[in-house]
Amino acid sequence: MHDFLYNTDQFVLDLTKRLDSAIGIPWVVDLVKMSIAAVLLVGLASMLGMVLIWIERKVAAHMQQRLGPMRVGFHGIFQTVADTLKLLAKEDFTPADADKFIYTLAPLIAFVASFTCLAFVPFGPSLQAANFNVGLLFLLGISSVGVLGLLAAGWSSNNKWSMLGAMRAGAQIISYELSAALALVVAVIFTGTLDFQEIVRSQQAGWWIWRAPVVGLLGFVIYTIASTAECNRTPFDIVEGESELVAGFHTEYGAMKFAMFFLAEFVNVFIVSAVSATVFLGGWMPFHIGGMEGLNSFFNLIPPWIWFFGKVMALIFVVMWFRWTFPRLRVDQLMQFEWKFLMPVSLATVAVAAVLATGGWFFFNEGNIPTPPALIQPIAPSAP
Amino acid sequence: MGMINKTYTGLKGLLSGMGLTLGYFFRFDKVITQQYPENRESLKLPARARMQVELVRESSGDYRCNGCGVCVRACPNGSLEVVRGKDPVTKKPTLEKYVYHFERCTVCGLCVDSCASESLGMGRKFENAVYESSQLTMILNADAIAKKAAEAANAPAVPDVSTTPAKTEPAATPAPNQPTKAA
Repeated sequence: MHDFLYNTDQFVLDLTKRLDSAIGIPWVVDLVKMSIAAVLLVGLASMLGMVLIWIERKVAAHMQQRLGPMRVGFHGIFQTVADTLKLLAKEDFTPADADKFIYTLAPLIAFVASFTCLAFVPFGPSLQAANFNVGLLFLLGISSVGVLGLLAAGWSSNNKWSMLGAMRAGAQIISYELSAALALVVAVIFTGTLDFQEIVRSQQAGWWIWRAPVVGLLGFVIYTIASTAECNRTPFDIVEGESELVAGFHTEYGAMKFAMFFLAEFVNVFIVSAVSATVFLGGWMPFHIGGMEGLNSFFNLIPPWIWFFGKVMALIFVVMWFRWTFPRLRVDQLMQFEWKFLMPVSLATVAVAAVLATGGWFFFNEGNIPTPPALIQPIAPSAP
Repeated sequence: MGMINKTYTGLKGLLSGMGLTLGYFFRFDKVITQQYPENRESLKLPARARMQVELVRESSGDYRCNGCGVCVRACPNGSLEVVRGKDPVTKKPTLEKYVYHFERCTVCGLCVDSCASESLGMGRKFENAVYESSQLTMILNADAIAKKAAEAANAPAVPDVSTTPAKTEPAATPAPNQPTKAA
């Protein structure tokens, strides 16, 4: 009964079989499966928006010795629900001099770009809306489209603050994308694949963050920094820069259009944390230490998708932690940091990683993997 | 070498900052937010909070003020009024009535500074919302007046210094001090 919690492979297979026998027409089955995945992901995206905003506010508050939202529901858990309702009920306003078409399109581009990425996130074995052999590359490509939304928003608003914010967004995201991609390349060199499920499976013996000596950790740190910049979050939030640009590219936005940008931002945070967790921290793989069978079987009791969400949430916490600790960088400091420091370091890391990978000098190399722990069929707890 | 050094010091600074915020994050006892209407009983005001002028009492319970009126002259916006009387025995001036127009007061504290006998202080009552500004005019020694009136009523007729028995005001005056409990 609890099996589908663990063996999501089997669960997806069963679901397909049932749909096949119930409907019979292959393309309708595919359509139904796509619709199920889409509905689930839309639900996940909106839940993420609400939950992450609440968590963000709580984390922010406690890091500043405050309490945060406390009034709506237990410790304010329904605060974001109330805020969402407010945003839904607000007037959908467009500035008189704005380019109306692009102005309306921009939040959609930003949201769709980040929402599409959710399809490639491996939540568990087979729990992935779209799995194909260049998933990582595709995700990087799609997520870059998001910057187009920000640029369009800043341009169409016909507002100097929006324009400045958008230009900064363009410069920043395009710069930091290089480091982010190079950091991911470090792990890709070791795995030899861009398929998310394969990347996860390659970490059965150990996560890449420590399995690749030093470069794994270095890649992880570089990716964390670069992805924070890509999400336009503090210390790299010059795009919004409240004290300088009012609100940056979304100065003129209100109601649901603003909510779309907000949602996109938090979905982006989830995506980059998910990618980082998948590539460097073993994705849905449980934490295993070779030889300690008791511990390993205990960790196997936790379903893979909970492992995944746990790792992602931990990384999201780190990103929030950054936000409430670090001061904002200046534009020139930002560019200097990327082009004069992060980029050379990530290039060097990739070079070292290439040498290590070709030489086979990384831990738990093919030859001496003890015995890969049984992961696909973890021990399910006996039904109560 | 310079770059490595810079990286090291920069990283050290960032990590120590993160350590600090993480420390705050887990120290729930250090939270300074006060959930005001709920915690009215245990509300902790800042040490230097000053909300409105109060008369200081002696340990005997009487007010220390001798009605000299320096505070009235010190007040820049005329929010204090002192009605003086005369002690029948010692012939010294005494405080008859201390009227405080809180609606005009800016809580600057000049009266407290000017008071020679240190008989004025800054109180910590702050729930002063009322429906009309006239309700903010309060008589600070209302209880002393009431006490005197009661004594005058009970005691056999003594040559009376207190002006008139029209001291019905005191009953009404504490009202503005009470927080509005509506809603």
